[in-house]
Amino acid sequence: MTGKGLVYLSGILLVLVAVVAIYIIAVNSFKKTKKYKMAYYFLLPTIMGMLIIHLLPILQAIWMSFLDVEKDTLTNYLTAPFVGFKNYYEVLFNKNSIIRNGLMYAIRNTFWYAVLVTAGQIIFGMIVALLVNREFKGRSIARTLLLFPWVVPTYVVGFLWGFMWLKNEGIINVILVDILHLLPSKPDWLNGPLTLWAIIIPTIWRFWPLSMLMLLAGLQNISKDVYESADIDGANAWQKFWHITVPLLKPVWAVLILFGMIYNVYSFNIVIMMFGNGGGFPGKYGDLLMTNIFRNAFIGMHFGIGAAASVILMIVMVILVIIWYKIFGESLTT
Amino acid sequence: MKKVSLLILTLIFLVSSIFVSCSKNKNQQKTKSNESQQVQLRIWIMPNSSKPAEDLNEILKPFLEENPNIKVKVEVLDWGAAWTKITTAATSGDAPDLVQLGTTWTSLITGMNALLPLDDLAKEVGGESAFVKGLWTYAKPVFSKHVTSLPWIVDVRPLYYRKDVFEKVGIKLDDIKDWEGFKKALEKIKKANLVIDGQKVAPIGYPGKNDWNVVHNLAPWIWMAGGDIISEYGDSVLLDSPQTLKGVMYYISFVKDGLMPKDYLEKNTAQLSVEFDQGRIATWFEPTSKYIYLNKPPEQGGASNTIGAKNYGVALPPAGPAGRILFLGGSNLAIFKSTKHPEEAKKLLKFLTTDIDAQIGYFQKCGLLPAYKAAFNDPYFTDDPIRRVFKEMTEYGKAYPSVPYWAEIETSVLTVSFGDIFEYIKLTPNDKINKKDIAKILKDAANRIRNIIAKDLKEHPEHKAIIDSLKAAQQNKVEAKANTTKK
Repeated sequence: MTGKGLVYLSGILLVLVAVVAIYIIAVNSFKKTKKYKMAYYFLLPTIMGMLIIHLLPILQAIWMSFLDVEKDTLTNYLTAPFVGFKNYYEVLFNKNSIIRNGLMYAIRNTFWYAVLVTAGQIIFGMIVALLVNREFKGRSIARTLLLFPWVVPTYVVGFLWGFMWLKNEGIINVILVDILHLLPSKPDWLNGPLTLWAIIIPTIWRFWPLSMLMLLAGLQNISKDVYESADIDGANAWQKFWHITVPLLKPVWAVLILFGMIYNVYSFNIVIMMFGNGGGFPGKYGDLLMTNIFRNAFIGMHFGIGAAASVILMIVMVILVIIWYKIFGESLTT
Repeated sequence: MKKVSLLILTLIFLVSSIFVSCSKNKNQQKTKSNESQQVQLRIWIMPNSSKPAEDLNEILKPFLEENPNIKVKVEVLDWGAAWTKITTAATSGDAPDLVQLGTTWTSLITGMNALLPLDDLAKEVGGESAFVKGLWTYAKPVFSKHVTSLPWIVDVRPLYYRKDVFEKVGIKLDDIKDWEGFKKALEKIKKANLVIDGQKVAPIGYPGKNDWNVVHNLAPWIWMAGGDIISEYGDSVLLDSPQTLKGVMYYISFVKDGLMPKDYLEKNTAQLSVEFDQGRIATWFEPTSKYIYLNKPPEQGGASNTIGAKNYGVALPPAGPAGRILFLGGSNLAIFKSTKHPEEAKKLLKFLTTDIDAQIGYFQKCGLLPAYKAAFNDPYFTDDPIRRVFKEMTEYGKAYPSVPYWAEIETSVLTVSFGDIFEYIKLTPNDKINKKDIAKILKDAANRIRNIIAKDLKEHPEHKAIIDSLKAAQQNKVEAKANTTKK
């Protein structure tokens, strides 16, 4: 390890020691916590892990967003010149800034992408969960096989679907037009407005098994007695679904919505692989925030500006999480 | 409270013991290396061939026999991850001894002050004149006082054509020497409406925005029309010049005039390369590595059994109004400053970049041409008609300006704007493709590039001074030449 590396490592370790020390002192000082002191000690390894994996990089990114870290100053890294809110100005107000090239398109695309993918994977996951929740032969094999898309790496999904969307030879157009005759002509999925669908559909395909798995677990937790009572009261299938299944699954919806929104806003692999294996351009209908920031900020080595853009996005996401908690917080605790 | 203090003390003990063990390890390593005198060099390369590490190890055999005290560990980086890994290595100092750098990366990594100056080695091997024309700009970037890398492998893109198609339609190679003749030849192929072995043959093919070669594909047509992206020293923008527009319009006229199926614009280089192999494209531009692929049997991952491979020929791309100017890319080899074995690293670098057998041997493995000029005097290149064309190609190469902001211009501006052009022509009916719309995209891109350059020159007044001195030196050279001619 180099000298610089050792300095960084020692810095990180000292911060961790300080945090652990504060944590232990806090646990010992508060009367209320004394009752569960042992439990807090057991939580310590997890808290340490979270600090290393999440908090330190976040703090580093926030600090970096106030620094002029770019190609000339990269070797200084976290000791690069302090520039205050200049990087935030570049992202938010300077129309000529390199980060703004196509940023508005990327924001629009990311919004629709996150909303539609999250909705799609939950709806599709729910339909399949209801189907495999019934008793039938080979149910466990079917459940296992249905998880298949979930185990395919996202970059492979992007690469393969890139082939499948091809206008003439692509399997999707062949099925839609040549075999099923559902459309009068073959649509152009990889150029123009349809590009957004070309990235939404594979993402739903990749992630719906997770939704299905969680919703299935939720369905199995609902007592059969509730449905039997509804039967006695003369409720039909739709009424049972709407008045029993949907409300009782609310905590699962809540978690899926949260995970879906966060994961999809930060989506990167599928898009980057589908359009030129990382070297191409998804176009103004396919570019997402992450691919935009990656191209404009990180390839161009404007790390400070990239960090500022990421911090702004993080703040937006925190606001969304607060709104989410206001809507779903109660259902989670009940 | 005693327990708490005990816990904190234990943690501090743990941290200090990690440091002690780290420094102990370091000392032990030093002693060991002194004892054995063995030197292990690490080199990072990209997947240049199908078995990158194995192939390079084979090339290295004579070097290792001659230098028994040196061992070389070849580590392969994926092109996608390489940029991040190399810049991180340059920043942290935790780097290998040698590294392969894409030609357009050398300037930026040099600017990070992470590479070992190689002026002495460069002089020893013959300097600029020892390597393929144009490559030296990457070895000694515009704003660098030192040579920081040596050219290793060269990427040029010849024209692959179908001999049988040319024969059937009555096209000779002399007919496609310039743009006008090339266009006429393509029109002839279109008119012939050929179906060979069940495959309809399109006159030409090239990829659109979903490809990683968009800028490299379009740049030569801009240069050959007399235009450019930025000036030689990178201080002014020429992307919105009328000549540049002329070059772009000529290139997209292949689509506009129906000489290429529009659907090709949604494909990438790899997909279209297969189209050529399968016999669906008559003319196609691709790096020289295609030649190795076309001659390899399928069981070794090649395509020698395909229609394309059985009927292909290789020619120089047609010359434009400003002459024949071709894309020149490839990779250089550099040594990180952090190396503990600079002398051994230089020895290895010298071997890989200037040993004729190593240069030719590596071409046979990966298909990218030698950068060392002397290699082209070998009968391997002079006796074979196709490889003679490759040799000739190197005389027309043009490099991008080797300035630290090129990567940003290429990725953030050109990839996007050229991508927009291809998306526009893909979605617009051929008769409605408008020169003005293309000009507007180029104008916007040019303004973005102007901002990038202005920002750099504002932040680095020394760059402006270097550019001025380079221009003055060039002017003096021109004047001196003119005087000599007069005399």
